[in-house]
Amino acid sequence: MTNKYLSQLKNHLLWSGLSDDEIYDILSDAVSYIKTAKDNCKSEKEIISDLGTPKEFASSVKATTIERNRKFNIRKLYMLTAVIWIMILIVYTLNTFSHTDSSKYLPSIVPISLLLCLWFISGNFYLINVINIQKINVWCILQSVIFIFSSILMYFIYSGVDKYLHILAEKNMLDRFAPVFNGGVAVCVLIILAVILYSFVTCCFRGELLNFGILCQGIGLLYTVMLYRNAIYNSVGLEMQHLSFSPKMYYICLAAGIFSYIHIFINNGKCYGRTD
Amino acid sequence: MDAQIKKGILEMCILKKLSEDDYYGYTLMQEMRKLFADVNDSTFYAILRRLNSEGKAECYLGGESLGPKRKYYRITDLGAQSLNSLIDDWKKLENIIREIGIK
Repeated sequence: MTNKYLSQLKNHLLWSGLSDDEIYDILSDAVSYIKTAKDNCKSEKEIISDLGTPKEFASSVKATTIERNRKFNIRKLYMLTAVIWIMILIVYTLNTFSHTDSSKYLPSIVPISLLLCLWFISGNFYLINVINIQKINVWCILQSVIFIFSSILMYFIYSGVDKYLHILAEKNMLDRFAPVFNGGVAVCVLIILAVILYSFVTCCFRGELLNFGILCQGIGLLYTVMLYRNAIYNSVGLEMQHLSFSPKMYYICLAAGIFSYIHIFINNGKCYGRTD
Repeated sequence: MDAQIKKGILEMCILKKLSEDDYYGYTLMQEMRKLFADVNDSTFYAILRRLNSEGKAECYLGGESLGPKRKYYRITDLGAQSLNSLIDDWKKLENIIREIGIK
């Protein structure tokens, strides 16, 4: 019974945003408490009644100790994440569109359109408060699903499904729609996957869901820029330019993303902005 | 008792107890429960942790012949200052309530 209690307490604490050391410390104290209570001839039922349910225990600790640390850590993480992403995006975007021979744009056809639509829709959910702020898990899950979906889609498009490549080859469009990943892009993708995995483990499972969500969107933004860069470098025609983003439009999106970040920081991470 | 009223009182009472003696966490919680029967020990524990993180109390491991070492709590200078301040506030509040006519 006490083991079950401790296990449930641990689960509640894991989602509370406490550090590993703090969780270990609290669990050690709980074990010590239970042991002493047993030494004082208290039954397990009495012990649990005295302590309160695991949820109550975790809530008490959260209410009195976490808020201060958590706000500080989240703010610090937001700042760090934002500065890194904004710097990367500015450098990457300027680099991408500074080439004079990049005047031809290849729209990334249906997949990128779909990706952007999904991303925009998910951002709009928060912009107009369709999803309640309390349902942060839903948002993060949605972002993760979109990211995974787009990553898988892009993987198939860019690494090549046999049938897809065959069709493109028949239409003499292989170079335009199925560029091969070069070493640099492959490394970037691997780094992104590593960051996603790391952020998921350290943020999501530790209760830092909001930060995870923002990180996820930041990665998405960079990923999109990379795809556009790839598309631009492999473009050969202007037939579908009217469907694509121009660099000017992209700058507007980038500015919107930066303002969203600023909006989030001003509100201490207690709101949502469009970072897509 | 109302939770908001209780919140401030609990901190003052715990600091007062610690000002009298060093306490093993479990023992302190049992002492407090005698006074506040409707409060869970986890609430006392949470306040102790906060006092500790705010530097108003500190803990040390005490010797035990059997089993793991126990964590004892004692008040710090900052905690003593905070206790005096809380007591002053409480007395002022008490006077105001008395002047209003609530006895």
